[in-house]
Amino acid sequence: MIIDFPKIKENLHKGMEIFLRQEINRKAPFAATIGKHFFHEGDKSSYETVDREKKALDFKRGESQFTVTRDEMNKLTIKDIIQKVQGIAEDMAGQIERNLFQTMNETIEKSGNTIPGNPPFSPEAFLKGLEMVEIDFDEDDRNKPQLPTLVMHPDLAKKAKEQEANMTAEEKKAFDEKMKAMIDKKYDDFLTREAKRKLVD
Amino acid sequence: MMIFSPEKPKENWWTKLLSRLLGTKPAIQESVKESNPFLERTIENWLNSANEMGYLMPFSQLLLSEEFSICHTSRQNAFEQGKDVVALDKHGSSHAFQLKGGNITHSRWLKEVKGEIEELIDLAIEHPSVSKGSKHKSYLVTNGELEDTVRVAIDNLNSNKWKENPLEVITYGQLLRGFVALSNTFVPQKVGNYKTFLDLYFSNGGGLIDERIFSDFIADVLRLKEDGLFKEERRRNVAAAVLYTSYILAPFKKENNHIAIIQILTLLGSHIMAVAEKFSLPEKYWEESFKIIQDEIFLTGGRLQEEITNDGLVTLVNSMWDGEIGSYRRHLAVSYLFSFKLAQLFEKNTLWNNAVNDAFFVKLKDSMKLWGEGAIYSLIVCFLYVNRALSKKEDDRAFSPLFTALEAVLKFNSPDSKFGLLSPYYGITFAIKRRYGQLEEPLDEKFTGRSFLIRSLIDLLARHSRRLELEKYWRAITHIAQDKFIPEELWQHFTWHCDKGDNQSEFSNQTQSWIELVKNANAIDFDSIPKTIQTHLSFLPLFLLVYPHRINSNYIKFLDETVKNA
Repeated sequence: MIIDFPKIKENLHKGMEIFLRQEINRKAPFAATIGKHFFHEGDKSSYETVDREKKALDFKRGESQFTVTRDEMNKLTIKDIIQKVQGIAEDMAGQIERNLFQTMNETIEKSGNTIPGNPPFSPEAFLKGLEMVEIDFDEDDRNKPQLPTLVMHPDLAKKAKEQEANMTAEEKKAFDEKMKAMIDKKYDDFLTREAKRKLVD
Repeated sequence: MMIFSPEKPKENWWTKLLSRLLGTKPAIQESVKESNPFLERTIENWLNSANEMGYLMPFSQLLLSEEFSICHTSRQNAFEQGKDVVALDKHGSSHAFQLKGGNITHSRWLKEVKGEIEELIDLAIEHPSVSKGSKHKSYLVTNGELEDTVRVAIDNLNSNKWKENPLEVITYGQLLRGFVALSNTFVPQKVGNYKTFLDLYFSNGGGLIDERIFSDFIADVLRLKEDGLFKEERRRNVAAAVLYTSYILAPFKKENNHIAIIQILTLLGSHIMAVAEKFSLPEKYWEESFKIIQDEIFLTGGRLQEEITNDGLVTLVNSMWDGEIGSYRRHLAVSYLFSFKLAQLFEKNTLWNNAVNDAFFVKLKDSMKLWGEGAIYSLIVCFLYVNRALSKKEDDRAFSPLFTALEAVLKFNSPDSKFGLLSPYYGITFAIKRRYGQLEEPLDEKFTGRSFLIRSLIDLLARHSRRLELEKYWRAITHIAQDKFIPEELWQHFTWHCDKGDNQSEFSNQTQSWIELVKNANAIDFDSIPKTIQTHLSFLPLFLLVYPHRINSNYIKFLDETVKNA
């Protein structure tokens, strides 16, 4: 064979894999906010939810590929490779985010944690949604609620912003008061919940 | 004196010795299938550079492979009646061996060796397995050569003064042939195997061994994945594993790197246990080999303690980077020391508590570093050892390592924390690389909100009636998921990596009954602990130290119980 530079190629490949993972994180922003746990061994996994419900974790395969001919290989520039990796990252990120939302939807529907009647998005629906989830508070401080992340389609996000902009001063005031009352209640719930975390006889 | 004939390699000193003593054909002959010149050169290189303690373990293994049973091997540097190894042949006759390293010149013979050999011959063996007053055969073993004048001197003594009990001599060539023959039980078949072996053999003896690489190699030598082998084959595989490990230990022995030696021997012992457990191998096929490994561990542990006693933790500095790296080195030294002392306790060795005095504790001060969850086990063994050794039991001072560990987990691994402690799947080398930006790729795993060791800490504190402290921490405890990995089969506990098994994660009860907590903390599930380790308790502290990813609360409860009962 003609002399080669295998170590350099190996390092380039490693660099490409790191770049791929970074690109996937960039293109799957919601999944990227969730911490990753690696399973270093084994083929099964089970976990408990915060409600202490035991669940088996269903591993889902994610894969993508690109093919190049021998002829193409000889002409590929680093720019071409980056483009191909970005394509894979796009595909993988799509799979990951779709799986994530599918699993969340299944879990939410199973537990009945959906807003009754599935109303269109509105300030009332938003408050109703918040009412249905547990909220914790940083440093036990009433003013530091850990509010959930809202994920929506860009069209809906635009619409939601318009709705907010179109609210009258009275409507805004009423919404803020309802929100404050709800956070107060959530704070009480939080304190009650946390008070249960203790050793007893 | 035994004769070695280079023209007839199968008729070496072993075959002659055995046919004379046992009247049987030695197993070793059957294993000499083919020669591997590269392997032979490596073994030659190793034997040339080893001192007497460097080939003590493989020499003992060689004797075992020839159906001797070992009664005694040197555990200390101290000279023990001139007998480094005492063995019985299958007829019950006793044999005593004095091991030497290098050539024996006339002046060395007169100054150092002759006196020891006289003790070797004249002093009866004092050992429960040897009948009082019985005669023994004596051997001078060296991995060098004898000067002609020494040979003549021995011949003369054998014809006169030592006529009743002549001295046998085993030298370099005979040893080499014995080691090569036994090593040929496993000849690296794949180039990858051979490369791994050479990489390990020529590795830098100053650091730790790469556990995964060594484990994969030794599992191949032991043919751990292969079913359907005869028990005798298993015995020979164990023997080969001991020999290959002896070669791999060479660079570490050269550096007097006691920690890595114990680490490697623990990995070897664990993989032998995996074979025993997986194939239900009766003890007679592996126990004696395992014992010589343990003897070597204890010998090395003693040297580590000696080094620390002689201010080794202060004098370890060898570069300007030790202001940073030194704390990790001290941590390892103290972790291995405490685990070794617990092993001594379990072995009922009276020296187990000789590290408990103020002067010694001063030397250990500030030597623990919490670089990840893998380091928590070191704090646990520190607690167990000190609590057991202090005259006042359950002394508050003994508990401080446990509280330090628990507080660190609650602080760093809480769901709100930014940085969690590395999980036990990441060792100290990884932690150092990460600390100093030397990782080959960024670490993308999150450790907050969960912990592998928290359950062990809770159960230990509950077993030791520390209700007040647990009450204080309970709310924070309930926010952290408790992770563990359970290998599918018990033998897999001893492998470095397991393809099959269950990753489990659960929370503590939010409202927890103290009575129930103590009850659970005192309950040990013995069925989940491999039988081999239950019957070899002194191996347990080191096994958990070297395999932190196998630690779970059940193991820690069992360890605590063993300390209580020791």
